[in-house]
Amino acid sequence: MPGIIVKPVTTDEVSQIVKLANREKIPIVPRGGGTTYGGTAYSRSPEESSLTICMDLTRMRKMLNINEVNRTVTVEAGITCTELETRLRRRGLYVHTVYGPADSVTVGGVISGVCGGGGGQMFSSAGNNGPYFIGVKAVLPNGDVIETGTRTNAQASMFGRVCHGPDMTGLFIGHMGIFGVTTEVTLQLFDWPSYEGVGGVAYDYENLDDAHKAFTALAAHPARPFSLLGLIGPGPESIMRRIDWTLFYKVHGFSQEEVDQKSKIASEIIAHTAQPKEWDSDFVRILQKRSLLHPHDVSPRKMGMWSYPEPCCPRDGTLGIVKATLELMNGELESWGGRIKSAGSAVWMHGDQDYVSFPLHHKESDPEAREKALDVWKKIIDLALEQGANFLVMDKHIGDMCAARFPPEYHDFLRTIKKSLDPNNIMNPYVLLLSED
Amino acid sequence: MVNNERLNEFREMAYACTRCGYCREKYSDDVPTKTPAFGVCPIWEHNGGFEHHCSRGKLQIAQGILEGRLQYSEELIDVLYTDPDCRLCSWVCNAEPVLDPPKIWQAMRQDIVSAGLGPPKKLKEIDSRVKERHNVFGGKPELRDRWAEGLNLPTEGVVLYFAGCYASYTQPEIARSTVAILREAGIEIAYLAGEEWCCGVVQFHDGSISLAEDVARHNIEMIRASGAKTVVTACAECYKSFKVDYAEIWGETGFEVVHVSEMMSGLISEGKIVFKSSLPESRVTFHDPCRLGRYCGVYDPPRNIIESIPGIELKEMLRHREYAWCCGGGADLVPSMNSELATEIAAGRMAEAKETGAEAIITSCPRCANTLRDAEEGIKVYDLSVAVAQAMGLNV
Ligand SMILES: Cc1cc2nc3c(=O)[nH]c(=O)nc-3n(C[C@H](O)[C@H](O)[C@H](O)COP(=O)(O)OP(=O)(O)OC[C@H]3O[C@@H](n4cnc5c(N)ncnc54)[C@H](O)[C@@H]3O)c2cc1C
Repeated sequence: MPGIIVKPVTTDEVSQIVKLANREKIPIVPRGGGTTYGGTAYSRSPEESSLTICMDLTRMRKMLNINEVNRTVTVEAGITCTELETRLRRRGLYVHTVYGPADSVTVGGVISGVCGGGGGQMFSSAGNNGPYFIGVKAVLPNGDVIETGTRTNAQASMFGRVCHGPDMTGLFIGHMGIFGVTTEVTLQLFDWPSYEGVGGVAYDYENLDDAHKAFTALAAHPARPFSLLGLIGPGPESIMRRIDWTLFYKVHGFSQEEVDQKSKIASEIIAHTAQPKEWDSDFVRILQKRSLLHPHDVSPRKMGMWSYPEPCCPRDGTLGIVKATLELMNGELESWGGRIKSAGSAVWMHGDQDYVSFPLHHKESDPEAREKALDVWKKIIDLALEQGANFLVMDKHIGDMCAARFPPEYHDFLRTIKKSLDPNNIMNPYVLLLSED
Repeated sequence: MVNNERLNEFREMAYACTRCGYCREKYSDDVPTKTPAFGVCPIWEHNGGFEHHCSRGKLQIAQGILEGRLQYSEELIDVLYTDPDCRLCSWVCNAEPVLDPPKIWQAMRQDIVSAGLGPPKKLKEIDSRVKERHNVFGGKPELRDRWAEGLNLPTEGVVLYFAGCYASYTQPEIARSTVAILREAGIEIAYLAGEEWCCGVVQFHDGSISLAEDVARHNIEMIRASGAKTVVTACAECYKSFKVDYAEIWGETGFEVVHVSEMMSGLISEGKIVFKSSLPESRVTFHDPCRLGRYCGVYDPPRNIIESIPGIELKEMLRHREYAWCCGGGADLVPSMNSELATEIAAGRMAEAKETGAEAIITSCPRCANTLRDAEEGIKVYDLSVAVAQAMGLNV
């Protein structure tokens, strides 16, 4: 637990606090909505207490500037994704944020806590949000305030990312707060395609190969017509009944014709690739309803605590990782039916990669089930890393597991940058094994 | 030493939170708020926005207590009592029956009281007044039914009016209006006279559960003895005590409990309540009491009534019905722990009411009315019964 909580309102306040903490060598862990999967680390281990500062950014939530000509919006880091999106939507505009619990997730938390800057409602067509972040204002570990992108020319506004040397905005994407505190973020604006349509088909439980073939064919379409493209199916047989594989897509457009056209592309590709068992199953209809009504309401609140191992796979490795993971889960969870539940598995197109999810649920009041779920979660992460996958949502646990596999030269490189920016190691020091010798 | 007996009963619930944080603030398409995000927890919003004041944080506290990592310190007890139990977090979380956060705080408060560590001073004082004088104000028991002077109400009958402490001691116009309306509609009304005791709402929430049960048992016995088959109350807190707490402990009581808004709404449809007059204000708004709305699901009847008053336009506040913002006064918890905070929450609600352009705010809970009036002058606060009696042209 943190010993001190601060809730600054301005960049200047952030800077003053960081300067003081740097002088006194007190660690600071920035915090947005606090929704990152596996939590943060306020000390080296949960048992060790430490005088760490939790810097809660949620009072910094102003929308500072919208420039519809330059297509940019600049916000303070603590604004929630929903607030930003909804305000923009009222003007017919859109930015890439998250699909997840956007009512609590902050823009600063996404850009800092998810490698690539997260994935939003155009998850499949847009891929990582990274390219759509134009620049940041950040407070460095010594308290200095810098701006990246075109603001490296003090006369310029923030309208472009890459100029005048290396892309330093990238340093603050997915950094988990180790390089400083992001206080402002400039994002690229898009017009909101307000027409949407969803559809899907079902493949037999046994027929993952065909389903995956169709999925890959859809994902390969050069125009990337699907804002969301997923293959949703069974979990491990030992704890979940057999269900079909459902190939599900969502399309957006600026007219109904555009939506129909994109949906037609889907039907044609599917018909030419692998005949499904059903074109319009009940499950597709359920997904249609849920997905259309509540795009942000994905928190599994009634299902109990979740552990979601979510590897991001190279497309040519996805099928192997899915099969190996299901097999691993099947064996590991053999006698756990009822105490650990599976909500199936899902493969989501995420740009040119696939984002794969194996949602497991348990009751936190059952410590053994909790331990087991955590153990299986770790084993899946290990398996996926072994097979060449990567992880995007960074937290203390996944971060440490990934860092343990960093080639030594890369880990040294990261530590060198960290050390030169943060010689006193005050900014989120206990992640990515940065403080280990 | 706290034995966590009650909290243990809610163990599964205490661990059911998936930590999405929607109990702090939420966006919903259902609520056309000016800023799309709206506060869910009035304490989180008005008390610095610290995690331990919202349900997600307090559930972590509950887990810490269960696992022995945390003890009930004075500060912790303060946090657990500074909460109106308004249930907006339960509504937004939408995970019932798996999770209904205020049930956990109520269980923890019962454990605190069992261990002799609570309730905090001001609530303890209310408890003493209820124990000794059977009302929250400490008013003389013989004055409890002074509001009924000259009304010649019988103490036996099929329909019984339960006034509650506020209408009995500080807002007698509510009791007199309610009785006048129902009599005008042709209903014979009985009452418990001096045998009516506080409903126990504060004790149900502050953890003094044995006192709550004592007063509840007394009320149930007296009502049964009166021969009543229907109990009507104009107080949202009394209504919730009967409808939720008494029912949870005793199940079938042998009589039905209705809120006066439900009864009046029915009487209007039957043509038994007729408005011969109106209110001086032409534009009003309605404040949903948490214990009438989110605890008991009564939303439409008060609105039907207001809309049927001639010349009155009902303008909804941005946060209404299930999403209504608490007045801050619920069960006297926050006013007892931090009266300034309660007033600040109520002032926020009054500001929201003013934004509608309403000249008056109508509510159907005397405690809400009281808290709102304390927060700000300049906009009239009516109790629903008082407004209806006035619009019927009744002389109370
Ligand atoms: C149910 C669920 C669904 C999700 N779905 C999605 C999804 O669809 N797409 C997606 O991309 N993500 C998703 N996520 C992940 C979530 O978006 C990320 O975990 C995000 O980082 C959370 O933002 P936050 O504001 O809660 O940050 P926090 O959890 O508070 O912080 C995350 C990390 O960033 C650091 N940090 C936070 N703010 C700052 C700042 N201003 N400056 C520097 N460092 C900072 C913190 O120190 C921490 O290391 C989901 C999460 C959940 C729980």
